[in-house]
Amino acid sequence: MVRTDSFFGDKLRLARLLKGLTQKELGDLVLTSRQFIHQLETGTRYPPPDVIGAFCEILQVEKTFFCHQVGNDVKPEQCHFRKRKTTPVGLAYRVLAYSTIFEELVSYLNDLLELPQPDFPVSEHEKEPYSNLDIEKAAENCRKRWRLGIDTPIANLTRVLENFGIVITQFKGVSDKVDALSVNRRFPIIIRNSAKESICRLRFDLAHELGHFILHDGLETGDPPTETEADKFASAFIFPRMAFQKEFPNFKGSRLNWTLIYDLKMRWGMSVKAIIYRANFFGLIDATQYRSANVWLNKTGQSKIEKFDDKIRPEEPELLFNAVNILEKERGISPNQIAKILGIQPGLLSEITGIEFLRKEKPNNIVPFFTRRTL
Amino acid sequence: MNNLPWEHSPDLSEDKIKGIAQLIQTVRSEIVDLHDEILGDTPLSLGTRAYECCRSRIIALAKSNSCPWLSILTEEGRFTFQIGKTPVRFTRNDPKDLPSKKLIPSQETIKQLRFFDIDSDFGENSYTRWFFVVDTPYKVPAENIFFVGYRGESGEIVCQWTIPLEESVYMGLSLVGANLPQPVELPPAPVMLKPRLTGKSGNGEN
Repeated sequence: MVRTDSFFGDKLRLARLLKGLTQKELGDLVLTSRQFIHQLETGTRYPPPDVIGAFCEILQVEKTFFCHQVGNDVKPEQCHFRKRKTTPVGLAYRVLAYSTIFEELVSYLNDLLELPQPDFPVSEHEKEPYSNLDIEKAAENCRKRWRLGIDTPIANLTRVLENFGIVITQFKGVSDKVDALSVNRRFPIIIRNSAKESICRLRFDLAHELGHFILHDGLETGDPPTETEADKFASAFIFPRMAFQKEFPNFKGSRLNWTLIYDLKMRWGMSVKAIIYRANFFGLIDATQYRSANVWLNKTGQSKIEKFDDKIRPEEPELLFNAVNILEKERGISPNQIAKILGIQPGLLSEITGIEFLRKEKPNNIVPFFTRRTL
Repeated sequence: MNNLPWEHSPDLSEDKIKGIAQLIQTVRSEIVDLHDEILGDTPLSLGTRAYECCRSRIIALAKSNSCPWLSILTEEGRFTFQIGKTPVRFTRNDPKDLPSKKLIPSQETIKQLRFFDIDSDFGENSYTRWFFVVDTPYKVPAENIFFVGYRGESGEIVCQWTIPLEESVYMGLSLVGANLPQPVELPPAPVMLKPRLTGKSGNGEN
């Protein structure tokens, strides 16, 4: 039994990082010093009750949150996360904290529910980097194992991944500097950035993270070679080579026909930028055509958001939402109760799941003031 | 004069008109890119090629079934397609100075419209002729495309709408997509309750 008056500093650190606050910022908010926060986090001092109350309010957690030690926090090397030069250190810690809490939620749901079991072919990696052919084959093997065929577009990639045991969530407001990240410990989890407007880029990010699961299981990633391998996997998984060579029009010696390329984009859910990259990769267009295509995309303002992005059917994660709904319907465990079990406030649960829990639970012993007067 | 086409006919919705206009614009741009005077290209070859490529692409689009509202009324001669049930043609001209011969409709159009869209004050040929009018100089991609309604043989303009070309409208697969494998679609991932354990549920309910 955990004592309710105990306080674990590592939990304070986790909640602080999740909110993206520095020790000084948190200290300022609860009217204490940075040093005091540091002492609390390292366990050399304990906070008075009023400070704990303030922490709860600011960090959107319950008092019980601090009563349990962080069981198994996500370490940087366990997280597939593109470490860009521009990514602030604080942001990296924030996404790790986010992954730790999210994993706790998935673990709780997995105790009560039958979720799809992870099923993807992990490559036997060697020390040498993968060849392009290895990556193409790895993507095809995965498609074959999942009975997707190697010549068919995938209508809803999010659903496919969820069907094969990957839990996908979307976070809001962490930073648009993070494309997506993934963790593969007890459960394979992909956390995607919901701020992205292009569905093609979102799909590519999901396939990129799948590439890490398959190619880089147990390897530290984030460096250019592994990121490039995951990108190549994403291209090969979304638009396999045989289908690409069959469907990409012959532009040899002529100008690119953009109408046809946009047709391919709409059919395969892959950005034009990625399509022309792949066409160049296979030698289906020459370097000059590739260069001029990129110049045209930049000139027409399509470097990030392309034409017809809004015409592609959006994809939303469904597994988590359905799991929470089933728990509420069948077991009467509401999102608020789930939040309470995790020691966090409902607002924070919404934040980490990307799901707006609209229904407000009201205590049933409150009688509206005017009703009472008329009684 | 009603200013907007869809006020004349609900068939002529904004998205459909913009989509066709964009196709015409794209095709003309591609043809202008291919124009080569050293090879012997002239204004006539450019115009003929642009017209024919637009015609064949509209036919391909209609046959692809990705735009169920688009069909071909007259494939040869006075090429006429239909948006819904409304016959429409396209031409490169000054919309205010359309040659009267352009207003002569195809036989299929006459059959279709003579009993419907007529104004009894103006006689049985008074129905509105709808045109996409590309107003652009030689060797220049389509600068302006208008959607214009001309009343009867006199060609009185009853509607003229400048189509905003900067907004993208996707028209569906035009040339690829036929006879290719359809996208694979999976149902939502299954989720179900685990059987309850006897004794403590361990889920916070107790």
